[in-house]
This record gives sequence, C-alpha cells and structure tokens, in this order.
Amino acid sequence: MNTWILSGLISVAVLVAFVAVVAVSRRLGWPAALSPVVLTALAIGGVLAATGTPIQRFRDLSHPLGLLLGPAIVALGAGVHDNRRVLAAAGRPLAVAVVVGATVGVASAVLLARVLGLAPLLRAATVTRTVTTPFAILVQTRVGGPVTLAAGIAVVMGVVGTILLPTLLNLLRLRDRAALGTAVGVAAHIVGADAVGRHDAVAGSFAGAALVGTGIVVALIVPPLWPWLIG
Amino acid sequence: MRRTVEFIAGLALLAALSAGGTAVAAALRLPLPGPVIGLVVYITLLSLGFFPGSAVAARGLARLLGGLIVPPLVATIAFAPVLAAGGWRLALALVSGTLITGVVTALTFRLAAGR
Repeated sequence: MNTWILSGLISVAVLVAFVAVVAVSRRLGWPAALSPVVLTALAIGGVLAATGTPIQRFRDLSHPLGLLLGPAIVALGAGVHDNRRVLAAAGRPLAVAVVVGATVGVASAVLLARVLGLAPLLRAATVTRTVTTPFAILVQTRVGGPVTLAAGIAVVMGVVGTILLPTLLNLLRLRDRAALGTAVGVAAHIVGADAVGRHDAVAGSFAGAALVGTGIVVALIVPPLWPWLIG
Repeated sequence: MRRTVEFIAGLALLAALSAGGTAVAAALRLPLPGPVIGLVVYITLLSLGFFPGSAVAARGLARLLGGLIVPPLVATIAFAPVLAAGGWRLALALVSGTLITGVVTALTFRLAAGR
C-alpha cells in the first residue's frame, strides 16, 4: 500500500481509538487513575506487540499527528478566552502563582534530579515534567532533548499529580477552589485540569488557564537556560 | 454549509498562527517554540474581538490534543529499561517535585490573593 495512504489511515485510527477510549472513560465516570491518553497508548502498544510491528515504524507512520500538534497548542487559547470573566476577577494571584509555580516546577525537577544522582538522560527528560505533554514535546524538540522520554514522564506525572495533589492540598487546608485549580493546572497540567474541571467548573477554568500559562513560562525559561539546567 | 466553511477557516487560522509563530521564532532566532507565539497571538486576537467564529474549530481540535500525544507515549515503551534503571530515585524525584510544585503554587495564589 502507498505509504501516504497507510500513514493517513494509521493517524485517523489513533484518533478514533482515542475518542473511543474517552467515550468509555466518560461511561465509567472519568476514573482519575485511568487516563484516556495512557489507556490508548497501552492498547496501541499491545497491538504493535501482537502484530510484531516495530515501534519506530509506528512512529514514522503516525507522523501526520505530530504536524497537528502546533495548531492544537494554538487552539488552547479558545479555552482561556471562554473563561476570561472568571479568570479576570483573580488575574493577579493567578498570574503570580503560575509564574512562581512554573519556575518551582522546573527548579524542583532540576535540583531533585541532581541531588538524587539521576543519569544525564533522565535529568534532561525530567526538566519538562511540569508542562503538559504537547508543550514538553515542543520544548524538548526545540532544545534537542529526549522528546519521547520527556513526553512519557509528563503524562505519567499528570496522572500521579491528579490523584495525589487534591488530597494533599486538602490535608494542608488549602481548599480555595481557585488556588486548588491553579495548583493542579501547574503541577498536573492537562490531566489534572480535565479531572478537576469535571467536578468543579471554576477550579477547571483556573486549571485550564494555569496549564497554558505554565507551558508559556516553561517555553520561555527552559530553552535559553538549557545548557545550564542539564550541565 | 456555513458552519463547515467556518470550521475549516478556523482550522486554517490555527495552522497559520502555528506556522507563523514558527517562522517568527526562526527569523528572530528566538529560543521558544513557534506555536507558543501563535497561542499568545491567538488569545490576543480573540480578546480584541477578532475571529470569534474560529473558537468552535479550536475547541474541537483541543479535544483531540490527547490523541495527538499518543504516538510519543507509545514510543516511551522502548525506554522502559531506562526508566527501570532510574528506579526509586526517579520515582522520588518526580513525585516529590510534582507535590512541592503544587503546594507552592496554591500557597502563592493564596498569598497573592490576600486570603
């Protein structure tokens, strides 16, 4: 079969599989531990293993999806705009918390990786832990970092943060909905924003704006500091 | 019919902003990824009242964002040995970093809001 046609079919199949998994997750009441992105990836990994298809072949064929990543990042702007009234009322604390939180997100990743003596490859991959995966891919591609590994780490930490962070904030009596939403958006990005948004629209708005803001801050600070961050 | 045209025009606008941002970043030798510039420009355009019809296409594409990151996630399977070699140190670095970041963010928000 023509590679272009096969590539198109594979890309559409991935999106259809993702939409189907999202529909199933909705049926089950959006369990936080079962992220649709992770489930879809596991299902496709299973199909590749069963058919003996090399992962690199799948990556090459699904290349068109990567081309949509840039436009999809731009598209996040509509969500921020939709919630502008709620956000404008707390614009200053939101902006301050996102800038400080995103900076601590990068700094904590770099320092902990050094203190715990992680291998250079893992140190580079954890720098973008706090941004949503599409931003992690953009930033790591920009600096020539380990794109794939960083993408995986960002998604998994989104899931872990979504499960642990609201409980921890509750224990620390940080129960303000706007503060919680912002914290989840910064530390557990799109996975967390999805999860809190389903239970609480206000927290979801803050989480959505916070994940976009964090992506922007990290995209601004990581590339210029890259040699120093991983050195 | 009008909706279809509006949807396609919306997608074209998003693609143009992404490509435009990438071109600007390359021309000015900016270190940040191009689509991020496109995103900032898009939020600015929407808030100034331009292209309100593009929001439908944008919401649709944003919902597929998870599907777009599936391929790199599948490829992470190939890195399983590297992750396993990281072991408890890697897990501790990631989990504690995520929790510290979240708590600092929430505290900063409360402090800046004065509540």
